[in-house]
Amino acid sequence: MEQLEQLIEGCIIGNRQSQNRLYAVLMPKMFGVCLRYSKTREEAEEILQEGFIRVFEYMHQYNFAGSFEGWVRKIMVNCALQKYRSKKQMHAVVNIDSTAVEPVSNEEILSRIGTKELLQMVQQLSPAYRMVFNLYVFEGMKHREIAEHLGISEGTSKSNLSDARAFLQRAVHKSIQSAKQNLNEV
Amino acid sequence: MNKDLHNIDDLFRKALEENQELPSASVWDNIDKTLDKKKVVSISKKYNKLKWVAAVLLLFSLGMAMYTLHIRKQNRELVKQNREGKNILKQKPQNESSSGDSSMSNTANANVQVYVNGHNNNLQKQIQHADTEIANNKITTTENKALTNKKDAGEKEVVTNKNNNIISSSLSEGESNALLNRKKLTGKNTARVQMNIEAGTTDSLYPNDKTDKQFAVSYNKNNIDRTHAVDNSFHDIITDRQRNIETTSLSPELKNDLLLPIQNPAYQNNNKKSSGEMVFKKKPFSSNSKSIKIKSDSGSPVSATVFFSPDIVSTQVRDDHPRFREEERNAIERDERIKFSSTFGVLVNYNIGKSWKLESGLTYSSRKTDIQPKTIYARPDNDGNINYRFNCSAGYSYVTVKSPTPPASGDSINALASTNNLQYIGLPFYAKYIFIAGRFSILPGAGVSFNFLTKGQIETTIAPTSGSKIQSTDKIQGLKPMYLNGAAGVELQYNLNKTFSLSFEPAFRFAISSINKDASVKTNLNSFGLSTGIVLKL
Repeated sequence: MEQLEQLIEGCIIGNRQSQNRLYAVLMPKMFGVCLRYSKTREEAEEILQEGFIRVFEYMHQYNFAGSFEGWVRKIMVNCALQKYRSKKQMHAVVNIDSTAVEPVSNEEILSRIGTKELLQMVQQLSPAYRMVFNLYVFEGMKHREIAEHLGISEGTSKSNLSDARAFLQRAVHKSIQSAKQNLNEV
Repeated sequence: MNKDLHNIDDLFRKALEENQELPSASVWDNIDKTLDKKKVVSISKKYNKLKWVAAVLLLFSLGMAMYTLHIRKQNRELVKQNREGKNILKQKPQNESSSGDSSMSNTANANVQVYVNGHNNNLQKQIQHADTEIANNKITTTENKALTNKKDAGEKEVVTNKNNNIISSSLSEGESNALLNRKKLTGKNTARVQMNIEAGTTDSLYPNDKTDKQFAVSYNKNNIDRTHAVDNSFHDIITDRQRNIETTSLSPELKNDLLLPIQNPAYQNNNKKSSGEMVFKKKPFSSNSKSIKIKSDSGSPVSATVFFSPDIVSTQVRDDHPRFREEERNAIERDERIKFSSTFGVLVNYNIGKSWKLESGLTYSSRKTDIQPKTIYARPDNDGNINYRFNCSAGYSYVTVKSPTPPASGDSINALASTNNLQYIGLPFYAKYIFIAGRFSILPGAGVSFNFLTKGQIETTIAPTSGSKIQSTDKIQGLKPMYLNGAAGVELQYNLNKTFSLSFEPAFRFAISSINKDASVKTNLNSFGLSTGIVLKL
């Protein structure tokens, strides 16, 4: 903890070595966050880069009150939001298969589907769905806050979340089915 | 189903919450490079105030340098003219003496240059003390060889015919240096007058010729005896050869104060009667004299211009950390059209030398922008209350809409056609170079202007979902109290007469700093104005 504070203080005075070390400490987790908000790895790297530049730029505003990691994470999410807003958004038309999906326990899914595959599913969501899903599930935001951040109505936020969930559910189901088939073939 | 949905949430949360991956090494390299650039930018921001001070000092130094050059140039001209005057004064007597002209009624020309700089000192006072001055070798006499009046036999008196009597009088600071042929006064009312006095062109400069007070100087050929006929007051020095003085436009101060050597007709008579006496008379200048030529290149270096300029304005808008989509540059710029923009004011010009002019004054500019109907959203204001935020290129304002339930963040409402109005008072500083071509003057120039905000307002009509339309006038927030712009243009002046000129100036004004600081966008105002005005030479 003391080491982190020293790094932060070093970053505040613009010490490049401290900045490098802090980056090395936080980078893997933050890149994981960025990956969830972007479609590709390159896009995630862009968000990570912009996010860390802001972290170093506004480091003096950190008051050591809350979790530093949480503060950095917030900046990363804001960068992702800004990137999302800066792009002209197209309303994606997603075909959601309404057929019922047989319930499978999370443990079973996780044993069959890897993290990477789940991440890819999130990345395959349309930007609007991905943003709403991420903000709701990972950041714990309410629909009102999401609507405010994305400049949409609360209803749209709810609808987007519902569609995103349905899409992911279908994707998970498909993935399990194909995994089962592979097992049977073997 | 609902449970399944939550399972999906949990599934992904558990799987991806702590997910960690390594990005490529190029990310840190890019961060490193960007931080270096930002460091440079932050240093430049840090020294922003110093830059301003440096700019002001530079302008001041430039002004001082130009002023000093102007003064030096003026001094050089004065010295040159002094020399020329001296040469003329030296050469004339020599010519005259060599020609053997020794008569009392010598009508040889004498060009006398009189420079007047400053106070209109009453020369009478100077003259009242002149006897003292003369006693202190303040009179320099250029002898015109000998003027011998041989009417009275046995008496060999040479009466000095002072062709060029120069009184170098250093009476007091700022007073006359030369009373006779040269007069230089310095002081507040700087007026430089070159007066060419030519003898022999008129005979009636001093019609009221009275010989009440005399100053007689008797000369021997080799010895000069000066006798002061001190009769309470010594009036003037008379040269008998400068009987004819031509004047065309003598300034009042000169008419009142200037003492010139005059030819006293009575003196001639006296001289004929009693040889050996030369009479110096003080005569008032004839007010109706027409024979003294004054060339005056004086004129106040100050002039004032009243102008009006309709402007064509273009705005440069760029994002400054917008939080919401409606705060972005594209969304704001799309809806705005400049309706009307103009500038008018009064500028004071100060000529530095013949080629440069400094210009400053006060200007007032007004700019109206039409904003198309658009949807505005409720956002937390600076006090934490939720109000509808109206964004425009100038800044933003919060529109309070009375309704039974306060708006929630993200709620929207329609704003019908709106207008924003910006008004500034400007303090310009321009430097212009002067080209003169006949009655026309062309003045290319450049400078800066400090613009102080006097009014920033948005007028809008809100159309709520229920109820009647609401007119709302709100102050624009996020505007800087002052912004700076540069200007460059070419002024064309047409001289109507000595007092008035017409002025026309196409000028380009470009933003040096943006007009806003705490808004979601930064806006630079550039404009092209066609300024038309009247110049009054003071």
